[in-house]
Amino acid sequence: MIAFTAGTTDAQVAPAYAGDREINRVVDQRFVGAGGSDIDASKLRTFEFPQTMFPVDGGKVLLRTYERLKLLIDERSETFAVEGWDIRLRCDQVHELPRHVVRKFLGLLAKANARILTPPEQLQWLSILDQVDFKQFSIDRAMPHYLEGTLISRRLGQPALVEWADGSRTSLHARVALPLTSLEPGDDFAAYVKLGKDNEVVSIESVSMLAAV
Amino acid sequence: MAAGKTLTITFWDVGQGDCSTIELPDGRLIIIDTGNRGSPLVDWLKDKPRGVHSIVITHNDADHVGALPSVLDTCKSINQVFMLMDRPAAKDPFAKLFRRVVEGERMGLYGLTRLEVGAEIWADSALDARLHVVYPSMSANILASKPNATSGIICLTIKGKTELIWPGDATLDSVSTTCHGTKPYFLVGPHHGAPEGYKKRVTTSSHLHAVSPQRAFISVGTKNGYSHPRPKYIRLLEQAGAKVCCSQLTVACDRQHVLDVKRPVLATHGLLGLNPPRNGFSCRGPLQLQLGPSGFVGDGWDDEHQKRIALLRRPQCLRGRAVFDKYQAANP
Repeated sequence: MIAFTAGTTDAQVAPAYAGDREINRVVDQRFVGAGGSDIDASKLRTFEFPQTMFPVDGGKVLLRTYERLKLLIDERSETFAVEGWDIRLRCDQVHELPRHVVRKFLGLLAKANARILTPPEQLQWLSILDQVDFKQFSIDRAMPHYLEGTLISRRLGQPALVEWADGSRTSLHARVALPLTSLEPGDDFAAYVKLGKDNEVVSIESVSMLAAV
Repeated sequence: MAAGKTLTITFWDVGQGDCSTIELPDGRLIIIDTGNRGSPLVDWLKDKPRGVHSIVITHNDADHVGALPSVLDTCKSINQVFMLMDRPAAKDPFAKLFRRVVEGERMGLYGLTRLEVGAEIWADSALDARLHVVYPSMSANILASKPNATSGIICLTIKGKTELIWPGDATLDSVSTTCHGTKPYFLVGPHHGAPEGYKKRVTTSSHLHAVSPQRAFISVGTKNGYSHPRPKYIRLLEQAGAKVCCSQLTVACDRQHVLDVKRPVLATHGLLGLNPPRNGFSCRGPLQLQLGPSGFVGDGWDDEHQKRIALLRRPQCLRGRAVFDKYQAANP
């Protein structure tokens, strides 16, 4: 699905694809708002792709963009390019865009990890990193960390309080703390903990008890 | 990080904490501080496992050592762990944090060595390089009243010249005493840009001039509750001739960017193939140096970073530089 930026109002340049009825509806509304035929045709070339989350790994991880991707339409060749991504597709292939976005991202990420980006690729990677939430992507993809802690308190259906080995305390949602049900308050444990933004505990697995120090 | 016949040094962005890695010519790593719990170093090591020559803990605060159990679990082979023995092992938080270290040593997985002056962590005759400890002494190690006062100071010496200094959270007094006249290429921190005693302008200035680093990296978290780094300290560093950059952006540099924009100034993690921290917004993010034939070479993102921080409201590092330039113009 494609939406228009403020300056885009002509239905004729919209890429044709299965969901174009939605586009036509939006275009019609814009036409009414802009006063019909007094539209500057030179401004009708930029579109925004409304999808800002792109599934990776079959949807287990999402690649998020901070803003909608800008599509630059070439009317003559009936193709569009994604600004800053070096992706060019035929207008009727717009439904393929999420897959191409993810492919581009993962391809450059692999090269960055291997430190084999060429200078043009580095600039392109920089442009892409400015547009995507790389932190959230990395956090979502990260494997659980081995952590040690002490269960301070736990009640059925209530948040559990855990003190980690570094001395910091975390209140765990009852659902997240479910793997700790076999522990009693005061028990030391080790577990593999999936951490989210700001070290929020997302899930706990492979809990084992530790002998008291 | 590219494996080569040289050294690649990475100063990680771990939020409010410290973490650096040195990739040796044989591909193994030396880890200097692990950062706090949830450190991106652990994510990176899980993605790219490799042997570890040594883990060096400058001091035993959670922001420097919090990720140690995770790092020990992730790394398959470790030679040595260097750490202070400044807190009684029976003390509860200390004992819990280092349970895994002690267990690993008992099982013979690695050696556990006291971090004290004279200890040599690594040396390479081909590069004429040496990583060694210049502080604390054995008595300072054991009798320390405050953890920061006994923080280890690690120096990397190339061809007899001290090039990099990791002072952890050491006081400026300790740094200037132990590294006087070294004029290193790089200084980390110390203490996230607010070393003890920095408020005494004259003393701080003389300490910094005594060391005279060319560059300084301040590892600091956006959401730290200590007002680190202190703008005054950054200005004094700049006046001493050091080009300063911080790992993360703080409200002192651009409040609106932190509270509203909520994006990194430069996503250096992605550019360098590293993992980002779980909290805060990167300013310089991590920084990488590589040892070349004529000294250390940066990762190539300094200019881009400079362009971007110029757009911030009041970047403290640039304000300091302006003061320095003005001073230089007045006193050629």
